Amino acid sequence: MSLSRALIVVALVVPLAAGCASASGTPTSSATAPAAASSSGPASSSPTSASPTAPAAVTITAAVADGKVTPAAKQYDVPLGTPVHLEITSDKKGEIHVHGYDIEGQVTKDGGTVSIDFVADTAGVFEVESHVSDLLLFKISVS
Amino acid sequence: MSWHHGELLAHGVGGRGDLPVPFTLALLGAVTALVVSFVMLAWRWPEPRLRGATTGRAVPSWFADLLRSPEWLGAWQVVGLVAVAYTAYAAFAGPDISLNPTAGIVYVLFWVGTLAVASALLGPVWRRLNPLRTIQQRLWQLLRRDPHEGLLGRYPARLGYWPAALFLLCFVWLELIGPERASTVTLRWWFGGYAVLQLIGAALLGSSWFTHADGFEVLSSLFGRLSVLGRRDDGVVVLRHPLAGLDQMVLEPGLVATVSVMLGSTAYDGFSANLAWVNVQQSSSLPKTVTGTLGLLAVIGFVAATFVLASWLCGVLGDDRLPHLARQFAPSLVPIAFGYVLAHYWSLLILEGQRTVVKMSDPLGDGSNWFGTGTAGFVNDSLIRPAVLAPLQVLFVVTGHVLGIVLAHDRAVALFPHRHAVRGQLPMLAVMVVYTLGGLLLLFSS
Repeated sequence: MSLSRALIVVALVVPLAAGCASASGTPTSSATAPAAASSSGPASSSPTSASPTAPAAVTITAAVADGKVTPAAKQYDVPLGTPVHLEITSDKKGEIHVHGYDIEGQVTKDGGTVSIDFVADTAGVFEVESHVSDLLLFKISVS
Repeated sequence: MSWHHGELLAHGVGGRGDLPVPFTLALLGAVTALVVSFVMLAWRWPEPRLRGATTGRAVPSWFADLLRSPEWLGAWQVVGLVAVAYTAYAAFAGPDISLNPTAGIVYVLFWVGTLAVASALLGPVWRRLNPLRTIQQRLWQLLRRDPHEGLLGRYPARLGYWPAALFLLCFVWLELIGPERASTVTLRWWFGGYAVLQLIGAALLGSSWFTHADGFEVLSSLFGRLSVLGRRDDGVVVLRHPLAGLDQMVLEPGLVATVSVMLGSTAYDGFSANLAWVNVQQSSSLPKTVTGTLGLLAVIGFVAATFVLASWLCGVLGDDRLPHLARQFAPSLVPIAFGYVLAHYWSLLILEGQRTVVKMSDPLGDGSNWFGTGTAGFVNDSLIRPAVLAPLQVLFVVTGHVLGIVLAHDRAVALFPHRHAVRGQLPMLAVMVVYTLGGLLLLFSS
């Protein structure tokens, strides 16, 4: 077998193997088009993906004080289409940003709390950050 | 749509991370990589076969003539100048908000799209596009001087790719660590400084400066080696297999460092998304910039050190009289690095690439639609849905691994005496398996 022929064989076999695995391994999820960010206020939470049994809403809380996050940054797994409610308290006023969905909330006064509501309708892992203290608060894994 | 458009981007482009690759898929990739590695040892060939310098089938002569013609080369230069002029316009005249296309152009379309993907497909495209090279060349021609001759003479060969490795390190630091790295102000200063240094370098040492010291050109040339379109040593433009160009490479000092920066920085980007590392950074008394810089240097240092160590062990087991073994084996890291880059940045390229094209229609943020791409409905995500993305990522990493070990095997056969060739390549095989399993682990644990 010549080298170039061998390379071609390898190039064919590897994708096939990967393809087979994916067919059996991962369910096809229907990710909808990337976030056309829902408007700022409490989301008009009608999950556009027409699943008959909409997942229960999820509430995530975090607090920022003295440049530290409580609880320490962790990842929350939520199913695709879940209405998500965030409650973030910060000792300094400023922006809270849900990356990827590009949704923002403002903590309007020092020690204040901001609520952010959105529907997790795009698959991926998204960071929620406090821009004023440059801290990652938590990640939301949507799948 | 809403007020978030006025936001200042504190961080990099994007913010959507990939879901972890399913365990079965990561395992399948790992097993494939291991099996292919051992098959390669069993099914070894006794003589080097790649012969990149002479491999390839000549393209039709009209095509070769076109590629050589001044009009063709000039057209590329114009495209490069226009693209950079557009980007500079957006960076200087546009508002510093997330809707400004500058950061997306730099980190997605240029860094991933042009230097990695387009180069691997078409060859060293940035060499043709690089507006700094164009400026120096045209200026020298205007002054009736040879562009290869700088004011101090020619680029000294002993410097090799070291300056490029350093410039690349500066860029990946900006990309992964730099505060306000998506801000147009930051990018104006960084690229302004880069252009000034590059032009001074080329003025002093001639156009070979770009070939060796411009990190972007060097990266484009390295990944461009994977292209099926290339040039044999006799100058004939040919179609060839993707390893021929790497086998043909002239090996110069600093090559290992350059490839290590590329592989290590991509690995760090995956590693730094890990929450354990985020919490270390956020609970440290040191600023994030400092811990991030230390982390980046540690990962790049790990790649360089393990590679040099493996090369040294190859020498001990194979034939210890050979000089510069790490450099000899360095080309086999290029496909591995490319596999990493593709796996890691694929979704960024597809998603943020499209979003950048949308933003490009309105560089000033005044609602205009220059290219008719200014609607978000333009963005399509079918290539990054989890069911497509995960298999693609594993495929990229494993394919890079396979190409890397074929190249390393051939190199070992060429370098070492016949009876030592198998054991002489074992350390190299081992270190590549480590990189590939590490890459899969990063995809799995992200």
